[in-house]
Amino acid sequence: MTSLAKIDEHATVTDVFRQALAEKVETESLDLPMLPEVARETLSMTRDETSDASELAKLIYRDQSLAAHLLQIANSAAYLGNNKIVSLQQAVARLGFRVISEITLAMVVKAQLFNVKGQEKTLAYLWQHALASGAWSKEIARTLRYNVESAFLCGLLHEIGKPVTLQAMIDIGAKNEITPSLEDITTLMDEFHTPIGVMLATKWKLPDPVIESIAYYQSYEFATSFAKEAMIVHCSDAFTTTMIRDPKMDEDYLRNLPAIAELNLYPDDVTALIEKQPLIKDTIEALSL
Amino acid sequence: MTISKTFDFVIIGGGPAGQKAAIKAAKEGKSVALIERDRQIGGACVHRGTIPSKTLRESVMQFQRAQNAIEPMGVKSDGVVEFSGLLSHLQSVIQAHSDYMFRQIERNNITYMHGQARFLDPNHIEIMRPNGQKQTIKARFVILATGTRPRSPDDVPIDHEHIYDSDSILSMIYVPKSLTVLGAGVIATEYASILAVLGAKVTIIDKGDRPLSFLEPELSQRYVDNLENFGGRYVGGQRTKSVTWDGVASVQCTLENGEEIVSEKVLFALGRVANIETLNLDCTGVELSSRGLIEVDDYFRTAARHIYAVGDVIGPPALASTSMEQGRQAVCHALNLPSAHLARTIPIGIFTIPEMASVGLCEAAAREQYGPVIAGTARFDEIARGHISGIQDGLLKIVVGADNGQVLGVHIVGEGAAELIHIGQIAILKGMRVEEFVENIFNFPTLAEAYRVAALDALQKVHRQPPISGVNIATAGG
Repeated sequence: MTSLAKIDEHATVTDVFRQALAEKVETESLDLPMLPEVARETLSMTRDETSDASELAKLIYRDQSLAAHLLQIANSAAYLGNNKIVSLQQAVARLGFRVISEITLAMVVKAQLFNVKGQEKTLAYLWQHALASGAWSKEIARTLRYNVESAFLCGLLHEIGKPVTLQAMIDIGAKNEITPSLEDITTLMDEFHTPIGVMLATKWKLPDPVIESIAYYQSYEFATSFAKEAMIVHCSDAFTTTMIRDPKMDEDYLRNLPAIAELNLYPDDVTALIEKQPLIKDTIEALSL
Repeated sequence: MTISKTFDFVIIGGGPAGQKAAIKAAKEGKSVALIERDRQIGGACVHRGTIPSKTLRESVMQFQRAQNAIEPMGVKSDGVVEFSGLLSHLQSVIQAHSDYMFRQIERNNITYMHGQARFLDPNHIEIMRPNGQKQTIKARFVILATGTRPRSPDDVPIDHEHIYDSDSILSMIYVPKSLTVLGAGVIATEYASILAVLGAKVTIIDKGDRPLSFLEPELSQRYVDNLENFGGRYVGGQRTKSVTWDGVASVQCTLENGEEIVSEKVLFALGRVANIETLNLDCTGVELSSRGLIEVDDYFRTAARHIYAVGDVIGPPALASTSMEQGRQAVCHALNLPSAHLARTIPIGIFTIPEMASVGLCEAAAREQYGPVIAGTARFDEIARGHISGIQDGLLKIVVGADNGQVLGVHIVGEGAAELIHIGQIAILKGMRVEEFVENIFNFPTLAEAYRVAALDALQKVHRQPPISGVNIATAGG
């Protein structure tokens, strides 16, 4: 339990949450959820070239809720081919390892982290933002012809620390009988999501480009090994925020982002990217289930 | 129109051709601007082509050598390797090269401009930065060195995720289980062999009966043999009717004969197109060929007499080595400086696995041009160095004129081929006769010994042929 005795008596509720969160981050004592086994094994199988599709199908069978979600997504407009997918084996065979692992991780992350009682509205927004960032990252990477396959996860998970921060605030509030305001939540999520996200991604042993994107998407100039991924995510975050704010999207603002210049994207490239908005919306819709 | 500055030379494109042109002009005391669309200079050669693919190849060879070395010692390796891991030191190679080039640009007081160039009229060029800011400069001479990019036909859905082109293939983060390569030229065969060695099941599809059809048939055959050893396959004499990604997991290539080849990934490597769209050449008088390349005369001058074009944008041979010399010669011509003609005997190095190299004429071309010819070959498994270094699948072939023994062509397959070929190049340039390889002494044990063995083979065949005038048979037989 956070020791409120150490907090100044004039401290605001925001200060209480801030200090408690800072302490938890500093002492690495935050309760971080485990990466569910199914997601861990899926990720590891994706990296293992000797794995085969039937093993993956068996693995997903262990989690019936995940299996059901996967079938729903496989049959959604974004993934549906000529025939309706009726079995998990068919889904794995058709969608392939990469897509399955991407969907699995997305579903697991949603179920595990985006599930804080009473905070449904905030979490729904964060989830939409995550999905859109994943989709934009992929399109930006495609324009750059650079690591398209890994871009989705980098974008999807770049603010994975936010729901964890939110959960931590709710827990701190419950223990100390205080309730964070929406403003507290927004402010403190912004302040703490990066270190918390990095802690979680490290614990979950997520791929290095994902961890670097979480750590440096706001300050890509400090990124070391995966600076380009961090820049792509920085831009995808801006594209997402702009799109959610106004579907017309502020093209001038996006064109003038320093990261856009860093990535050597010219005005025509930005225009072409903005035109991909319907595609992004399809992806969000498919994975919003 | 506000003109920010006037330059003697404006070079558009910072690849090998553009750089050398810029440096030559600067060394002649001229004011020079070098415009590059990418953030870094170096062009496709440094960032997407020659250097990255060779770096990848070198990593793969090291990996293969390590595996071969540990296996006899009883050390087990699962043979699994991360594609991205193999490219891990690429960034440092590129950075070192880029830093060196920038230092050279700075040292020569060349004005470097990052942006996209567009002609406003034959002498005025607008440069747009990525953020949209524009400036206009004036040029006395312009050298176009904008290079090429992979062709992307409308009916092939290249998405850089499942269907790659030869630029984006390097962004693949893992080795796919299967890969179909469309095309059998240099780039296609290089990547096909690298990925086959890494464990991908590779299928090459091309309209030609054999890959790299401009090479000696023996070299193409060695390539195919090696590909098959790694589980690959060459499907020749076929065109692809359609390429479709099934929307989720695999790509299907349907051939004209109806065969369907399904693979996890596809590499489309059928041709390149000139980077000219944004230049607004219509206002300059520069003319294009039917293939969309810039037309130039023997001095690399376009139809607009103050505008030159060099490098890949003018078409074959499209080699970095040649492009650099073209850049230098274009400047010499513009300034009326003496300049030697571009050498016609240019070696080709192909960094497939196994490596291949060629200089001069193939046996068939030599026969057509010079009449009777003799070919001598040396297999690397007959060379001591080949055994020592584990390079036993190589071959060196010398093509000589039957009437005078003059060396007309040298063709090599095997590790080190691209280095070894230069001996043959000098022999051709100097008009050497084949017995000189026998009369002279090379270090032992080296692969260069293959020249002597091939020469002996050629000379033994000479004994069975009508006599070659001027060939010292007695010495040759030694």
